Order: sequence, then structure tokens, then C-alpha cells
Amino acid sequence: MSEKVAVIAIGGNSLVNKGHESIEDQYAAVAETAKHIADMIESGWTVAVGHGNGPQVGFVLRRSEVAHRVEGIHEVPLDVCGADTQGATGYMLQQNLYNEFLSRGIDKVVATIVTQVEVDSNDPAFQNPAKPIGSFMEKEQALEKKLKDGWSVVEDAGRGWRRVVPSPLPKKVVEEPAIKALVSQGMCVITVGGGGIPVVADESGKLKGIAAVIDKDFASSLLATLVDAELFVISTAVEKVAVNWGKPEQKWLDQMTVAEAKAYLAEGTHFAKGSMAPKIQACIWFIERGGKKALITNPENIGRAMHGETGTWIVP
Amino acid sequence: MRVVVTIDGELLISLDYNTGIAEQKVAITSIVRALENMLDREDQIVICHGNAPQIGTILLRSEAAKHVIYPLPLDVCGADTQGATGYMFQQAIQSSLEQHDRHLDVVTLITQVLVDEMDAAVNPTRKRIGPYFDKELAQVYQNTRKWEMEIVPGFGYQRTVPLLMPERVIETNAIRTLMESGALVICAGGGGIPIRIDSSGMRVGIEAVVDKAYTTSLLAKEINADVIFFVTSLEDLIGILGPDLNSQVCTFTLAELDDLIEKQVGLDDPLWHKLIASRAFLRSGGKLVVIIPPGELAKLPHVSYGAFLGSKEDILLIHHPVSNSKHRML
Repeated sequence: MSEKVAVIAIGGNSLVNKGHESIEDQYAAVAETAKHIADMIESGWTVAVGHGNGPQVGFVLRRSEVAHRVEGIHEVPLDVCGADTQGATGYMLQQNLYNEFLSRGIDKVVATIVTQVEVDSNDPAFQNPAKPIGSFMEKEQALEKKLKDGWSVVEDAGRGWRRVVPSPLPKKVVEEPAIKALVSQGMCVITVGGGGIPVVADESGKLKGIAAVIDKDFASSLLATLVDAELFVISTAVEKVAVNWGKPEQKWLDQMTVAEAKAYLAEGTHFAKGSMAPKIQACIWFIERGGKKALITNPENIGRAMHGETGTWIVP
Repeated sequence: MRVVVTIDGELLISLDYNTGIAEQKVAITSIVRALENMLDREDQIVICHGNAPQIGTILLRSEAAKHVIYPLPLDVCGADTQGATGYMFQQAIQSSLEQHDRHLDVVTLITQVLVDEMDAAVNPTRKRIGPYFDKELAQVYQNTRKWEMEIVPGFGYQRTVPLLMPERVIETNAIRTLMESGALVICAGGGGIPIRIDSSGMRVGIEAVVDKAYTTSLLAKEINADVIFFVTSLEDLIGILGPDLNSQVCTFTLAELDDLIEKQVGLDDPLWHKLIASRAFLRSGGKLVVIIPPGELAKLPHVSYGAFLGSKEDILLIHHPVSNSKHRML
């Protein structure tokens, strides 16, 4: 491994432009994100990039659903949707990163690896599919899908019915050796897109794609451990993490130790569930597995945070 | 030995164009079965694949859903198919290896290819792509999207895009690094995502297609491969060689290949592109090109490639004269 490796987890939302979702707008958003990643590389880090794909999978599914209804074209299952978006988002990111490197005179190879992440088929998440995915449906259609395709569906208060899938924990990054081979050459690797394509292994070790979603911060945290990263960065919507979020006594944090972070998490009132809480958890796991420091901040402040000027730092 | 295996996109779906992903996975698994003998050898393997039917399906979806969601440009379609096909392929190979208690890293790399714009100016070949439109919509797209359209009798109007020659595989460094780490690399799907370099040096995706045969030969040269396998359907082979040749191995020297190409000038056919690409590869130092249907690939003895030279199977072999005696030992 090259001496200073960092992993950054980029939110899928920062790779699209809310309300303006054409490919041109996506390029513009990706180009902006590429600048912030380049800031890290300019600070001397070899960077592996994990990214979300929530909005992107939404687009692929929407297209798939409509084309199926209108033209009878076969639908895309969730694992293949994930692979699609890893290809497309990876391509846009690698192209924009190269262009950003070029304009800054950085000589760096950037590459995208299609990445599968293995989960445990006994993960408790399979008993409680909770992650909503795809468009809202009428009750009839939802129940038909349940019967015919074995979907889990739930009614979302007043808005209609939706498919839900499990969100199991990542256990193993299947392409780990390839990622390490590239990182050890100092390349910028884009991987675990959308938390990785979720797969389970059967008794004989054969891998099979499943309909699930892996938290991209958890997958990126695991990736950071695997590549022996010193630094793990989660780029999100806020500059810093706050305790007592949304309350009068809300307080922005510059730093917290793992012990403090765990205590806040245990109190259960500080961080939004399904949003900030899993990010804190991802950082805790990274440090507990031997990582040195983790950072949570927003994309535009990554450069400043690299100089210790902002962000919330999680340390041992 | 380094081997590049390039598989037609049609072989990675089932015969019915609009079959589901489950059927595609079955088709891919059967191709991987055909590759098993090869996977058993100690060669370093790089796999490329076509994506024409896969892109066709994405474009159909994109068009059908355009009222609710933005349409996809060709470069992004290509990236989509590299991700999805690469994923299904790598998983099928990993599974096959696992069953045979073999361990090999299998990895898909998203691959861009820089096109030769000079060639496009000299040699403006175009290729039809995507769904058929009626006259009215064809005119709308000619105006709004600046698409060029062609009439396909009996079907309607279809878009045409430039078929460009690849000049450089952008990710060659990463491909080499992965090969050196011992991985089997799947890359350059669909011939690579075509890009150009703009006046300020920036890489930009373009609305064009690249024939995977040329990218294969270029990549094979860049990674110093010894052998290229083009896996294609038997019909393609019969198309150019005639039915009388379909039950035997045909071998060609480079000089004979020249003759064959000379006789078939202007033929715009997938096999034609493979022949031209083969010639380029052999001229640049490649040792052997094998053009073979998947069924025959499955029978390919794993002891040595040379051994099947004498068999009476549906294999077209094109080899370099100087390596004629050599490849019996490969």
C-alpha cells in the first residue's frame, strides 16, 4: 500500500442535481464532486472512492417500470440495476476526475471496478425488509407483485404502496484483491458503488445477486479497513455533526472519540435514524477496526477539513 | 501466455431479443461453460465482449420512458452495459471457478476508448442503432436532437451514428496492473465507451460506436497478448466462408488472410471487422487468432491450442506463418 490511503464515501445525492436530472446536470454535479475529491488528492492522499446510488437506481428502476408497462420490455432486477449504476456513475466520475486532475496538473490514474459485496444470508435484516425502493404502486399491483414475484410491500401512509428490501450488513468485498492491487499503485479507484452489488454465497461458494441494498457508508467503511486506510471520510449534506439535532440545545461537534460517539448513539436522540446515525456507526467501526481518524463533512468543505479547519472528526 | 477472448454480445443474451435478465444469466453461464477449458490453463486471460443487443434494449427503455425520465446518451448506455454485463459475467466465472475449486480474481473494469477523429473524417462509416421510428418522430429527432436517420424498408426510420476506429484504450495501465496481480480482467465492453479529447485536453464522451474487434486488437497489442479468440456464432463464419467450409478447421496464413480480405472488400459484416482486426493484430506481432463458435470452444482441448489444429471441427484459425510450427507447442 502506498503510505497515505484514504477512503471517501460520496452521497448519491451529490452526484445528481435535484430537480434537474438530465445527464448534463448529472455531469455538472459529478464535475463539482470531482473537485472536492481532487482537493484530497492534492493534500497527498491516495483515494479510493465509494459512492451512493439511491437516486441513480431510482432512475433506472423508473425507466425499467415504464418501459415494461408501455412496451413490454423486460424489467431490470435490483442487482443488475446496481451494476448498471456502478458502470454509468463510475464512468462519469472517472472521466470528470481525470479532467479535474488534468486541469490541476495531477498525474493520477483513475479506474472504476464493478464491485460485489457479500452479505450473510442469515443477516437479521432479511427478516425485516425495511428499505423502500422503486415507485409507489396501487394496492392491487403491490399485492400482485407480492404474490407473483415474492416482493415485500408496505403501505406508506397515504402515499401508496411500495416495495421494501432488506438492508443487510456488508461482510466481504468480493473484488478486494483487485482494489488493493490498484490502490497500491497509487491509483484512484472508484468502487463499492451504491454500497456494492449485494450477493450471497451458497454452500458451494457460488455467488448470487439478491434484491437488497447495502448501506454505502457501511460498505465504504469496510473498504477503508480492507485497504488499510488511515483516513475515512463521509461526505454528506452538513459541514459538521450536531448533537441534540433539531433541538434548542443543538451543538456542532469538532471532534468526538469513539467512546463519546458510541455514548451519543446509545442515547438514541442525537442523530437522525437512517441518516446521520449510520454514518456515525460507519466511522466507529472503521476506528474500532484499527483506522486512525474519520471525518464527516460536506463536499465543499473537504478541502478545508483536510487542513484541519472544519468537519467533525472521529478519533480513537 | 496472454490471451484476449472477445465474445459477441448476441451470445450473452438468449435468442429471443426481449428475454429477461434471468435468461441472460443463463446465456452467460453457458458461455462461461464453453470457456472452462481455457480457464483451466495457466494463461493470463482478458475478456472483452460486445454490447449491441444490450444497448438496443437500454435505448428502447430510454425511448419508452422519455416522458417521465431523461433519455440516455450513448456513452452512458455503454457504461451501463459494461457494468451490468461485466457483473453478470464476473459472477458466472467466479461461480464456475469455485465449483472447480480454483481461485482466481475476476474483475470488471469500466473502460473508455479514445477514438480516431481523423479516421472519422476520411472514412465516414455509420451504424444504425436503437429503435425504429415513424417518419414524423424521425423528423422531430432530426431537428431537436440533431440525429441522422436512415430508412430501413419495412421497419421505419432508425438513427445512425459514426462507427469510429479506436486509437487508444484509456485504462490500459489499470488493466495491466490488474493482470500483473493475477486477475482475470473483463474490460472494453462494447469496444469501450467512445470518447474524444476536446480543445482544452478534457475527455468527453461522444455519440458514436466502436467495433469491439478493433478495440480487441488494439488492446491485445497494448498488453502484448499472444493470442486473440473471437467467439462468434457459427452463422457468421458460414456467412463468409460458405457452407462447404463449415465442418472443418480452416487455417490461414497472414498472406492468405490478405487474399481473403482482398476478395471480400467492402463487406460490412461483423466477421469482416474481425478479419481486418486480426490482420492488424498479427501484423503488430500477435501470434495467433482463433475465430470460433462457442460450441467448438467448449470442445477445445485444454492441453494445448495447437492440438485442435488437426481436428475436423468448426473452427476457423488464422495464424501467422512464422508461428506455424510454433503454435503446436503453445
